[in-house]
Amino acid sequence: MSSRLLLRRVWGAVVVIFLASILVALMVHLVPGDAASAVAGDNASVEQIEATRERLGLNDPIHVQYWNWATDAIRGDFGHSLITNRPVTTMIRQVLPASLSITLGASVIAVFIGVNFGGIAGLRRGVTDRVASVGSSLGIAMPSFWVGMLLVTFFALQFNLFPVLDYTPLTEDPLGWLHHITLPSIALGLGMSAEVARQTRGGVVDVMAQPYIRTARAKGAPEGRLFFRHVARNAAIPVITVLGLQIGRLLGGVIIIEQVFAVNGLGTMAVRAVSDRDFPVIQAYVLLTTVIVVSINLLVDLSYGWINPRVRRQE
Amino acid sequence: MRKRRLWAIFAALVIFAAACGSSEGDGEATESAGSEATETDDGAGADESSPDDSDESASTGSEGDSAPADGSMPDNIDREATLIWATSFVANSLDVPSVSTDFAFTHVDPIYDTLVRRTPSGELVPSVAESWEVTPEALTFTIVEGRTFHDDTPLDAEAVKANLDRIINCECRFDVLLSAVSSVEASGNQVTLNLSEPAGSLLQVLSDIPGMLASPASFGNEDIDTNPVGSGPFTVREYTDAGIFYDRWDGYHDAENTLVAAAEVRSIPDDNTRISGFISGELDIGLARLGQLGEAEAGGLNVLRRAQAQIYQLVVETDRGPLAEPDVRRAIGHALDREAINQGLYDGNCTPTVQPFPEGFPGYVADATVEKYGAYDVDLARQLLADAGYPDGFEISMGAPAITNYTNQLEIYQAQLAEIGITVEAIPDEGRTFVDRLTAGEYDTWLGPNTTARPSSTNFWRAYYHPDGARNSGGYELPGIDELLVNLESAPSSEDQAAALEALVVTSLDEAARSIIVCAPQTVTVHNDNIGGYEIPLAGNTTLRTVYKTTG
Repeated sequence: MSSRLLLRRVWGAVVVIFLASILVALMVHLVPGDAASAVAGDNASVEQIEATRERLGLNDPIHVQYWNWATDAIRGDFGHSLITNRPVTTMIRQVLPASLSITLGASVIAVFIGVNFGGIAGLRRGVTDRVASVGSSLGIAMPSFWVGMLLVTFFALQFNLFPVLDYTPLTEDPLGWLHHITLPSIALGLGMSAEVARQTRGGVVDVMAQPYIRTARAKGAPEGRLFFRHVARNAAIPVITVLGLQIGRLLGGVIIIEQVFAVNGLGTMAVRAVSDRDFPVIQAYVLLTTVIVVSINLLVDLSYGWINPRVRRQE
Repeated sequence: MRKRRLWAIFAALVIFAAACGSSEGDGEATESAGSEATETDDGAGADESSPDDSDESASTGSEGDSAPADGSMPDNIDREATLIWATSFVANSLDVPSVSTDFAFTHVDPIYDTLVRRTPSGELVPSVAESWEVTPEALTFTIVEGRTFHDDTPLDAEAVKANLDRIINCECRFDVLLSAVSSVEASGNQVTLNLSEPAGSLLQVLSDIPGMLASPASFGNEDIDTNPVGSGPFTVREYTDAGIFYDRWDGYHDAENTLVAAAEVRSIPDDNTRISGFISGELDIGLARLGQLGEAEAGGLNVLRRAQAQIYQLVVETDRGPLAEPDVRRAIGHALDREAINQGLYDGNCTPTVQPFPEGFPGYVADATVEKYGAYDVDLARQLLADAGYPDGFEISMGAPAITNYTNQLEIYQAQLAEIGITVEAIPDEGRTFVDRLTAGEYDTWLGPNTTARPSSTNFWRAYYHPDGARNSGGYELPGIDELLVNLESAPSSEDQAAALEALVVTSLDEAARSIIVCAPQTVTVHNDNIGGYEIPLAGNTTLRTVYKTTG
């Protein structure tokens, strides 16, 4: 990929994040009624509401409010929670590892199951294909929280193989970490794996029908080499596209999964913040997830050229 | 043939999965926040249970909860154990003036001692105050000598005065509870609260969150919300959104009766996750919902149930249209089928009632029955509406916390009121929005839970029936409320206080006042076999101080 194209993509991501940050920073003004009154709470006096307005800088011009918020955010300072008075950055630092661990675990499971099943289904049409299709339809149809509850019932309550609750940091106990994130990751990743399997199967079927595959076969290329050298690489682009799109879905899905497994993660924090109208926490959460999703999509974009030289040349 | 086999396998898988699913969930599976998380109580209204002992000078004695509540002490108590209590909500702060809900008592009680303590049965017993004396003009406490806070600051009369002054001037939800205190004086080992008006409920208030004593040296600490300094049996090791983690404080004056080495109060909003945690043994003891009784028993858990001073109610704002008419409110009361709600929603565990206190509780009126004040009678309800000038009914809005339990109630009220021609616009709102909107008077009617005697019964009556009440945006005034409250606060004995409460109950029912009480839910606590020493408190001031774990 040319450096010019790279810069263009990065610039596009920066613009998206900038626009999102404007919305996030001014979110407090979008609340129905008086934002200062909402923040000051139920029984606040007029003086307390005015003091809150001053403290939040709501009397400043809009562009000054944005500038103050953005410069603090760039320094990693998102202010203090209105409910608990704790630094928002500290709160995020406490909960982020759990959410990232589950999201990462779910992605690994989704890729492993999806690529393998989808690849096999695409290569071996017939019964295998149909079983894989039914399986992926089921995977897509089953809500992750329901899968989570099934997993808890069997693997935690029935057979005592995994814990029901909580999260153990990787740095404290790597085995405990794996033990705790396994069920949430499966619950979250199963739906995504079905989506990946479908895309993989479709990609493999498409590529297998290409003339260059027939040619390679006619020239006596071994099946293994044929798959890894020609099929997998060409079929990977739609799969990676889906993976990029699904990361956003995972960040949404992890909110539910964290409730089911009582994991104190980013999603749990966001739910509480929304319920409490804890604006600094909501602002930090929205901006953080925006940055994560935009960054992943940028990486997906950049990966196209790396995977397939033809894309690179077209660009 | 092969196709048929595949279909058979598929069908078997589906049936298997469906069967598994049915063992979970009781309709509240996706509930993302426990009801307590949106509890509407703001200190105005709560539960009490106690026989009001404010008139009695207590003699020096042991603290009410310094030993297991069931009186039996097994030999195999594991004093090095960690006790894990699970509830549905998060305490926003551990600093007393900032605590936002009375349900956080469980979270802060391990950290702080109070002047007096309320036992699970409601009796007020000495704690930091070894005795007290009540006169119409003052309440004087004698402070136990020789105690300190966790930071070694002396817990003396000056420290108590500093705490009381802090609450009185806090501009928080607690200052109104001490509004009768005109000044606080400390002298020797005595603290005197000078009163500007009768304040018979003050002892109960001081046995609750507003009376919790923190080290004055910690008042200015930046981390006081998460790292408070009290004089209770536990110190805070860590505060997170997932829960609060405590360690036993070996310097506690009664450390030998602190029966676990560490404790955790975990916040798990999802009811199903919580019950799974109890069954798997990862959680020791805590709250369950009425709809989970079967699941808890099937999972081998021990189930405790008790009717506390808590009600489900439909509250009417009386400053608008038809709702200003007592007959209209009576009609609504007669249109609600309380028994159907009890059986249909709560499997018989929400006793139909029209009064705020359970049987056996001070203020309970034996002949204030559902039959007398709220019998389900659609014809009578229609007639009352017609007599009030609304034969064709009218439209009202009805707000509720957006939690399964309350949205279920909302749907039922909507359907039952439609029978008499009242069209209900149902408005389920998220926690904070719900509280904001009901405080602003945006709902014509609203529903929710309410404890009726915490910190004292006075708060319930003042919040709902006094024109200045915190839960009375429509400015309803119960006839004679000022005099009735003075009678309650100045009652010289617990019998007189009970009589004053009964007068309030009867007046509110005769006047068809604005709180249409539907039923009294039982509180459910579940625990594993190795847990003992817990009793559900009548007043709702749940404490872990007496709970122990056994080995094996």
